[in-house]
Amino acid sequence: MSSNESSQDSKIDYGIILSLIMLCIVSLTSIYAAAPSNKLRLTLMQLAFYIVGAIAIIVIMQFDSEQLWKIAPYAYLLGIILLILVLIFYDRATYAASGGKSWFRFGSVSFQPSEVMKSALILMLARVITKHNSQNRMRNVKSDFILLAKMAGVMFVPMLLIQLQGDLGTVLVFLAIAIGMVLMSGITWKILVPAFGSVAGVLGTAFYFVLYNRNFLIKLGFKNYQFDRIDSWLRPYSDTSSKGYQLVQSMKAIGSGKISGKHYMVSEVHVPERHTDFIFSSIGESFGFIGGCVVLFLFFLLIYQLIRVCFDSKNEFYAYICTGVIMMVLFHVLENVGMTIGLLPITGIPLPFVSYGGSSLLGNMIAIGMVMSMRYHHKSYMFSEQERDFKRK
Amino acid sequence: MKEPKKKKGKKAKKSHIPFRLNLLFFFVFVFFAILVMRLGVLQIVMGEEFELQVKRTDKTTITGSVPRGMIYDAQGKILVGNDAMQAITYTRGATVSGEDMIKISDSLSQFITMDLETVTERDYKDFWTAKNSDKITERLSDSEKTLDGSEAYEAQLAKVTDADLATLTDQEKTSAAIYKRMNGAYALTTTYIKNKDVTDTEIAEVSERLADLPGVGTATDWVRNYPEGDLLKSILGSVTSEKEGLPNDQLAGFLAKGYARNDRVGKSYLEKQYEQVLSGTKSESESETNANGEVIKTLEKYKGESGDNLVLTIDSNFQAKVDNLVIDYLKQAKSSGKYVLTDRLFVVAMNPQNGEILALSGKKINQETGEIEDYAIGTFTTAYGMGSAVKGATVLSGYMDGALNVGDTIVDEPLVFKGSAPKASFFNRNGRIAINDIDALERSSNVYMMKTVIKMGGGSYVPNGNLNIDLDVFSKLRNYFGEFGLGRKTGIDLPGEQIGVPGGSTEAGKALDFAIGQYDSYTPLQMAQYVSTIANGGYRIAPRVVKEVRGTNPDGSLGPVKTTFEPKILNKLNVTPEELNQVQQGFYNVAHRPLGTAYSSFVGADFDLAAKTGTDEAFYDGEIDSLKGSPVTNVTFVGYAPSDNPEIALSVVVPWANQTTLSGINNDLARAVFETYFQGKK
Repeated sequence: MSSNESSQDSKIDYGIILSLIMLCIVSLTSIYAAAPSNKLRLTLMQLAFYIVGAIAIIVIMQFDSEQLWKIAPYAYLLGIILLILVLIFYDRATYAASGGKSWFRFGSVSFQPSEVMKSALILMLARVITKHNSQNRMRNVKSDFILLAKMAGVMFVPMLLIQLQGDLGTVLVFLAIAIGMVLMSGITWKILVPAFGSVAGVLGTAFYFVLYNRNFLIKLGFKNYQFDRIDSWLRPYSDTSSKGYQLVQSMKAIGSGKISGKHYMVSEVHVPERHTDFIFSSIGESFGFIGGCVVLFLFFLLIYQLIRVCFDSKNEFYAYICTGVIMMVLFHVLENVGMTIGLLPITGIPLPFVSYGGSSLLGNMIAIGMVMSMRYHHKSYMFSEQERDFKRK
Repeated sequence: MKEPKKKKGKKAKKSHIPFRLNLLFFFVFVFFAILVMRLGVLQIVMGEEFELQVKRTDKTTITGSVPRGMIYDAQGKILVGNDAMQAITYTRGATVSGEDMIKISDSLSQFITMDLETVTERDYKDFWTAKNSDKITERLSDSEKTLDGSEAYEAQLAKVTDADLATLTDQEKTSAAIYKRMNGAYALTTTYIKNKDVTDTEIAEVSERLADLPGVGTATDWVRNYPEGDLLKSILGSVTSEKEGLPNDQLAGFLAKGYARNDRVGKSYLEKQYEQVLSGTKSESESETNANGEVIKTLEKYKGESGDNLVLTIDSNFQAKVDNLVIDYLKQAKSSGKYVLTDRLFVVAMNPQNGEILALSGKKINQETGEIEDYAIGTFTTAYGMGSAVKGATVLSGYMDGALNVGDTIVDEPLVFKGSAPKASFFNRNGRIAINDIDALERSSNVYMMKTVIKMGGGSYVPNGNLNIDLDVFSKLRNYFGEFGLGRKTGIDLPGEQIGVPGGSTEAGKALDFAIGQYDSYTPLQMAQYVSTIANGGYRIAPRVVKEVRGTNPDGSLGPVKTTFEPKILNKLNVTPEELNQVQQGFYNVAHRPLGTAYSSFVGADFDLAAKTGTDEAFYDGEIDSLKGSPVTNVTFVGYAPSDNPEIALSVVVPWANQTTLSGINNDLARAVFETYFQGKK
């Protein structure tokens, strides 16, 4: 880590910015190629979203850790209020089209509050963990359980609200964020190993029920369309629904791209939603294995930079925020790319920074902004501390 | 804030974060590695396979209709022909959406006009909904949004207001009419968007733009025409419209034979019976679709062959004359006052030697309009008590059963049984007259027939006694009568034939009524088959209206014979020539001896006939419900001529005459038909 210390005078993380610029280029070129109509307009819109996002980053970078600490509860509350409002004032047209109640619409502008909630939740969880750890210097199993309960308390309301919106994808994102932060919070392996073990067991049981005893799950309040996703994932060719068709078409598009792809703007296979959730299939078809790997490498690079910031910050509060952001980006990429290549079931999760869509991009940019504020604000004296001594706040 | 803001001193414990961060980074690496590997499997290992899938095209065979075969009369005159019409067609691709079709209908509406009369408000709503789906979903309430399937669609349609529909321009209305046709089409099946009054300009305009109108094409459609007007129309039958398509009850069968759902097929009678002959072989074109289901190209593989033609046994000239006679006599009957309840009249003429139908005529007065309508199908779909006309079958049954021998003499006397009214012959109310079989037929002796049946039933007549006979006699009689076609399917080549109505009870006395045709009822066609069987020497031959199937010459005229139908003998009577001769002689006498029941009607006829008349004491069973069950008389006639070498066998049925009416109109009409026939031969 000594090499990092030499860049201590650099307050702006150019590595992250470079990764974002590359992803921005990928996004704009892919949207232009994949948009079904209004190609130029959608591309320019995405560029505009990027500019708004950049401004958001700059604004958020101004907050130092103390301010972020203070903001956390208000951001969390505001997020919850928005989630409640959207359950009442959701956009009827989107609901009719997709069954999701997660969108506001003001005239031609639509907005998904759950995207912003992700950052607020990360902030709040980071604060709860940091506070708990500072109060319990000598941690034991009991104090760890109390921490878990506190985190669950923070998670519960937003997850419930998002489940009510019918947005399973975002619920999963929240879970991924929580899992990462639980891991990082220092909770003892004595809890984590059995916990992850039993989660694996529960998932296995759930899988069993989904495959063999659906009526039980329907009684618990699950919806049939949620099973459709699993069906179309496991048996895409025998599934005649639109989901199965989407997956088959996506795999055909990507597979037929072979090693080097067909050509930019060439699309022989029709994939629905290919400029939003299924944009990776467009990239895979046009640029092949090489292009797909380049995009994955860009994401890997971005996550690597985020982890590096986390290492460098030496600040526990920052480290948890960073972990949350890493998990958020990681899960989005994993799930989105995974679903386009038939590895994971289809959920409505966009490819971060690349898929067309303002809310998602803004949400991700805010998260990046929080990470970037860390390097911007961290004082050099922090580095005079012992390397492994992470500060609290 | 209570927690320390400043850094604390060194902790004894090392932070857990770096290790766990490294662990997290390790997981990130593993996950990305999995993604890359899976991507590699898809794109490198399976890439070729997917590429083949994408490049693969599907070939689908699209069939097109060919002109249906025509129907000619025995002289080669067209009874049912085709009018060819220009048409604009549409073939819906497998993955074409409503929006795609709206685009096509919108552009098509610039070039063609449509008949808007058949377009309903519902159609306009369908169109408006398809075109404005965004607006519609905005209007739905929350609970309506949760509906699915047709309920959801109905809710959407309900949101279309009159104001919305009022905004439709004339061109949009045309587009709606086009959309209606396109939307009703089955995938990969060609349907007609417009096949009536298509102008040359429209064809030209559309043809020029076919490339921009995927699925649209031009073709020739046909429609049935009837040069002879209503002649035989009910027998000729009809074809389903394109909208009706295949009849539901036979859907699976037709589909298995390669029919498309919107194909027009024979719906009734001749068109139905000879569907396979008339329909021809459909044209086939192969359309190639790519992996996205878009049609790339269409190739004609087989031009198809138009349907073969039917040539009927019926001479339309003779048929028309018989029809006119039937109408005249029906009018005459109505004005005479003796036929108050009669609303129908039937004549069946057939060649007894080969079963060819010469005329099949039925007319009926429509109770509501008072108009006389064609009811030729009534000759084999309705049954009536036929009275004494069946006595030839009774006598022959007696011979076949051994109850009667040639020339047997029986005393005709009123039969009196305990507790019932006496049964006597019409010509002999009170006396005792010994008569033989020939005389019994000539004078229409009821008692001769009844005593024969009593003998068949193993009984004997005891005046004022009980009638003791074996009740098996009913099934015996019905079996013998069936050999003449009475109570059985005649085997005519038309669907929907009725076998008549057997009487309900098996009281012994009813067997006596059966013997004189007053119990079971038969169709006019069965009567014609019965008398033909007697006329031709005992062969029951299936009547047929189609003589042969012929192809079409290149110039469209009637082509070479493809199939000729041989006479189909259903059974032969188990009687000796002498026995049959007795009956033929009896029938001859009916028309030639002064005591014969039809003598007066045929005095001076210039043809030589044999006949039997019938008067059935029946009950009205027509369309006026309040009068059902009123006692009436059915007057009937069967006969053939010339008696030595019969060419024409005739059955005339006049149902529901007044109770007291005796033979008259039946014989007169029969004579007129015979005369017409023999005049035509001169």
